[in-house]
Amino acid sequence: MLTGVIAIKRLFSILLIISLCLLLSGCWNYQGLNKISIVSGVAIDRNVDNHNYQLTIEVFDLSGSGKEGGTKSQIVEAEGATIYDAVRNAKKRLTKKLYFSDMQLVVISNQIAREEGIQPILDWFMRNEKPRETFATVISQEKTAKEILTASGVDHKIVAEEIEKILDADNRTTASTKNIDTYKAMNILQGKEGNALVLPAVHCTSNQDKKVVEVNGCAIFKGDRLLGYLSPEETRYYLFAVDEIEGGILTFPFNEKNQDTQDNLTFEIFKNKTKRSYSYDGNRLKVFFDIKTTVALGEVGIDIDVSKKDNIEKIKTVAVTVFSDRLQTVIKKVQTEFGCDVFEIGTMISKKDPALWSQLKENWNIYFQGIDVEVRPEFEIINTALTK
Amino acid sequence: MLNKSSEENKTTNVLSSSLEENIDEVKNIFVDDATIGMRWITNCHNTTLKYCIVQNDGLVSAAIINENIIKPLMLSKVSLNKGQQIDILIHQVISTNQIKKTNQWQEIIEAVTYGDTILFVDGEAEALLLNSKGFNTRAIAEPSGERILSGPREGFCEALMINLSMVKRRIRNNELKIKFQSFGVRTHTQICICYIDSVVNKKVLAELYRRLETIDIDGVLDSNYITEFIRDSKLSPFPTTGYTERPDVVVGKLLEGRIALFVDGSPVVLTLPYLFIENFQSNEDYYLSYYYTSFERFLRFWGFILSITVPAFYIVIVAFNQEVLPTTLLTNIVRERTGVPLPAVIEAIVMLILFDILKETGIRLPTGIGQALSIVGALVVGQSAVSAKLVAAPMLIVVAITAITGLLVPKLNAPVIYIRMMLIAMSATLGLLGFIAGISIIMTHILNLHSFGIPQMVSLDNLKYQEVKDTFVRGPWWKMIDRPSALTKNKTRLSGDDRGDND
Amino acid sequence: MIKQGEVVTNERGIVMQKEMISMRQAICMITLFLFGNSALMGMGSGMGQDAWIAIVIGAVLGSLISLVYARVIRLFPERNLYDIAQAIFGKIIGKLIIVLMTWYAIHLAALVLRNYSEFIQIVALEETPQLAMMIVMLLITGYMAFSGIEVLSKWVVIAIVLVFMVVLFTVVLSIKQVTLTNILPVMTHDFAAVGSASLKLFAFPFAETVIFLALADSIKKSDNPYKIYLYGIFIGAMILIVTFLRNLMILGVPTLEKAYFPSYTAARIINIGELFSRIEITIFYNLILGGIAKISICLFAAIKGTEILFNIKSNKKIVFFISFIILLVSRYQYNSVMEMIKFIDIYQVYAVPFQIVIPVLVWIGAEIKTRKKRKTT
Repeated sequence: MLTGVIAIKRLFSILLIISLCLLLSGCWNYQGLNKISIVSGVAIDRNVDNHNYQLTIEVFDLSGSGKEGGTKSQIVEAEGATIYDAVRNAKKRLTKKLYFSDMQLVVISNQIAREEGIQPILDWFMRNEKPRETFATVISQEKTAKEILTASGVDHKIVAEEIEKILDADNRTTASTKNIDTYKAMNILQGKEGNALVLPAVHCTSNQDKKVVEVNGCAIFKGDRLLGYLSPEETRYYLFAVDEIEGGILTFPFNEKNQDTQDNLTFEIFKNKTKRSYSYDGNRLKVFFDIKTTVALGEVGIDIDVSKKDNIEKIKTVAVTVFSDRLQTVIKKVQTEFGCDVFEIGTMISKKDPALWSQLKENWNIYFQGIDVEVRPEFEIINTALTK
Repeated sequence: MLNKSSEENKTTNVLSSSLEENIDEVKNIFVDDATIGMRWITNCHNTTLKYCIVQNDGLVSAAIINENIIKPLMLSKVSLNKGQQIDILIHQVISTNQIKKTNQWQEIIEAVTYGDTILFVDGEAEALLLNSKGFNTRAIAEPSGERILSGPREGFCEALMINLSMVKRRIRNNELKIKFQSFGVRTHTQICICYIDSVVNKKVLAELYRRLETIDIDGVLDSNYITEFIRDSKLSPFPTTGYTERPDVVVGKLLEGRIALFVDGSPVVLTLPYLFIENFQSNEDYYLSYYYTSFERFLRFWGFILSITVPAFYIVIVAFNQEVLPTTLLTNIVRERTGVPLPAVIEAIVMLILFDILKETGIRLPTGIGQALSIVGALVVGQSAVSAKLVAAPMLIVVAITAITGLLVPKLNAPVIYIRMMLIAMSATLGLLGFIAGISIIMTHILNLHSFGIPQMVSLDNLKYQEVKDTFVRGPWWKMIDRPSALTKNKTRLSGDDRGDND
Repeated sequence: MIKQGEVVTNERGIVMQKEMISMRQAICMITLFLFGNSALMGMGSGMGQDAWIAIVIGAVLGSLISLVYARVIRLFPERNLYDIAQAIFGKIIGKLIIVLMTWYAIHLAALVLRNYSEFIQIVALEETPQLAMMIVMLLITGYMAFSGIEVLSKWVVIAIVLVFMVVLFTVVLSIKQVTLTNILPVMTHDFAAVGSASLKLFAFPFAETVIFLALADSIKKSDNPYKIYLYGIFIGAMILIVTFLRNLMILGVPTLEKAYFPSYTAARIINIGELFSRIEITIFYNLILGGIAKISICLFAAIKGTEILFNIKSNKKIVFFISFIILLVSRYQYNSVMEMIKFIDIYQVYAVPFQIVIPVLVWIGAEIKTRKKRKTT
């Protein structure tokens, strides 16, 4: 019990020691908010002259008060032999420390992607505990990645955030590019299932005479090297093949007189389910894509009464044919031009039949080029909006 | 010679048979006390019968003395013999409702100072203590600290017997036991121990008596004096005895097997043993709809938790783990904090202390100024501090939440202050780890609390449906509480098992 | 130490019996003990998507050895391991066993402590020296061990409710991020590999429940120790499997294998509607709770051993002393995280005498002794 002078002294000395420990040593990790600079996106280029990485870092500019119309962004450039080196070098011209926990985008120039591969670049972002593994990685179709981040966004003033939001909503609205978290991309790069990496591609266009960024299809990789691109339309069909489409538009040409015309019908996609299966007869691998899509007829560019059942059936038949043709074109293009399995067929086989996969995986890329893919689409038109 | 015998008498502490000696003794004892008055009386029919009454001016009711003491003594026709008067006086002459005979000076002193009249009879070695109390007490009113929306509004006042009367009226049962003791070497304050015999926990009762014997202090002015002597966990800021100013609360707790401790001179009554959940309970819970009061209890519980953890958690989020905040919130907070000179910790501590100062001022000032000053203080100071960029706006909100939720649970206002500071200190040095460590230590401490041998918190795994229904999160394991009682929304479930073994 | 049946008056003046814990509390203690460290370190051990099979087998093996532990408790009810060892083997060998088991408790506490301080340093507090973190954690566990086993078990029950809720919460929220096929293909690894992984899991964490033998004097005679152990291991294994599957399905095999702290990495990815993102802070809280529980239990076992060994009564000095030893061991046993991970291989073998040999010896001795007793009575 605490009675007596000695006990009081003891208590006092303990308290003193504790408070000294706390106060003198300081709070090692105390990082006041005014000492951090929040990063929203990073663009990575290779400096041709000295072979250093050149980083263009977009940070939130929070100096003004919020009333002046939204957050602005600031660009910080940095250079270094490795990514981490460049990041730390940036502190040479910053008072605040870069804070990566809210980073949403990494833009890699196509030059690095083609010539060196992206895995070494992404390693720091995955290893360091600050960046969140769900950020998006995109490939810049411009000359440098820097141009993407220094352009402006139409909505947001912060380009990285804008691109990320566009990507996020993409497979529900436009279905013209692939949305993939970087940790999943790393899974593909390090996985043994013959999968090929597909990343979104971004370019600059002009909007009201201002340079803005726009998402433009996807980039196809072999290993971690960039091979080429798929255009936005081709990407849409690709998304059908891998069952990642949740919305978007399909256009078809429809002509009762069987003439070649422009696309004049528009389907609005509500739901889609792609069932993928395969058959292997010891020799040849045949893959089937069963695509069931629920659509609405959103736009009819010709004069036809779509309330009649026969017309709907005709439209469906046309759609099925056109769709299969177009999808096959994309598949063939990937097989011949790129020769890498972006359709996750290898994954499918490895999960359903590991024994077969161990047989095939040796030369999978070559094997893949010769696979026969049968496409069996089916459309269900549920409504034609407000008019007949 | 007279003095010598008085001296002898004093050392033996008993009266002498001589009236003069006794009265001299009284004068000696109460020397320099000018309010002790003496009145000599002689019987008109038998003038050899001499009496003297000693009364304490201001504490006695003149009417009682006149009518019931002086008059009968003067006019009595009863024949009395010297040496045998006391019993006849008691039974046939004096018409006060309480009479006690004594030959101890100590008892006489205690009686006189409380308002009794002392009757010394010539030739008797005993004196009579006659009840003639007539002091004023405060009117029975609603206690200001425990206001409720609906229900009884009686509150205790400072007189022990009146308080007891309020409780006794509510338990019309012979099982209510009432025992008196007195404490305080100089004040001899009466305390009263009250319990219902068939439900009380006998072990706790025995422990209570044992602890009461250890009290050694010169004066007991309030029940809190007693609490600090007899409580468990003397170093913990958490209360281990309950206190209340309402008779209905006391009766409710008595019915569950608790013991009530009344202290003369204080309207606050102690109830023990005390469970942790009682901090969050209010008697109002049983007078209003249980939907409403369940929600209220929920709010109180969360209010307590918020009040302790919000400033510390804010510091953790803002200074250590900023990744918890979504980007928009983060950018807003950063914008608010740019330009603010002090680190968040210092701000938090300063603002909290400032708020406590304002609150304290508001209580002490006379009404009228108090309210205005608090509002002015809070708003103006807060607002200007933000505009002058001395304090960040989110910190104001944090402090406001903390302070307001702190008022939800008044019984815990002592521990809350210290725990809050401790958590802030730990979070400021070690971030999230410090926060979690602090909370674990607090949890362990609360689990460690005992009240008279009964743990204040019951283990979660012991919950039966009834007990969960009764009290918010934890039900007491203590067998007595198992007895159905209107501790909650459900109406009484008292069954006939009242005669169970309660040893 | 308060012996069975002994009635003491503690400093609160209440005459009390030895503190007992209920069966449910004991089960919760075992469950949280199993959860603590393993959810942090991940249970992959190179097995990829088949690790859950290894967990199941490890749990089964753990249940087998726990039958031995429970039998020992059954034969000597309401006595702890140290008591029993002395009763069976006499003073000298008994004391030797006590020393060994106490050392195991201390070492286990130090291992867990180091795990946690590494975790906290990498994830949250980079610049804080680990010593500070260790001291803080030892403060908490010391306070808890000093408060006695009743308080410890009540705390554990509260903690496990929180842990359950968080695990459930994260599982429910991860629905959007989950790729169910990540668990396929099943059993690509051969039995030998899975077998060796199960042995690793057996040693860490399942057979570590031998520590509870040191606390067995608080388990009531009427409670069934078999039930306690089996339920505890079962529920603990369930939680671990659920945690593992959730991590696997969110992360995918390569990321899972590469991550040092898969639960934490998985929690960072969970994101529903912008509102429920960044919930890794709750996982952090969860893991710390588990760690505190485990270290407290080991500390408690070590303190009891020391008390019986040197015949001193429980007080602050012992707690302080043992905590200090744990701090030293913890600080100096490895130099880096990589060594820490490597140690698990050695630990498998190193722990065998404590987890298997000594309990089996005690068991055999106990059987012989009780048979002798029965013959003589």
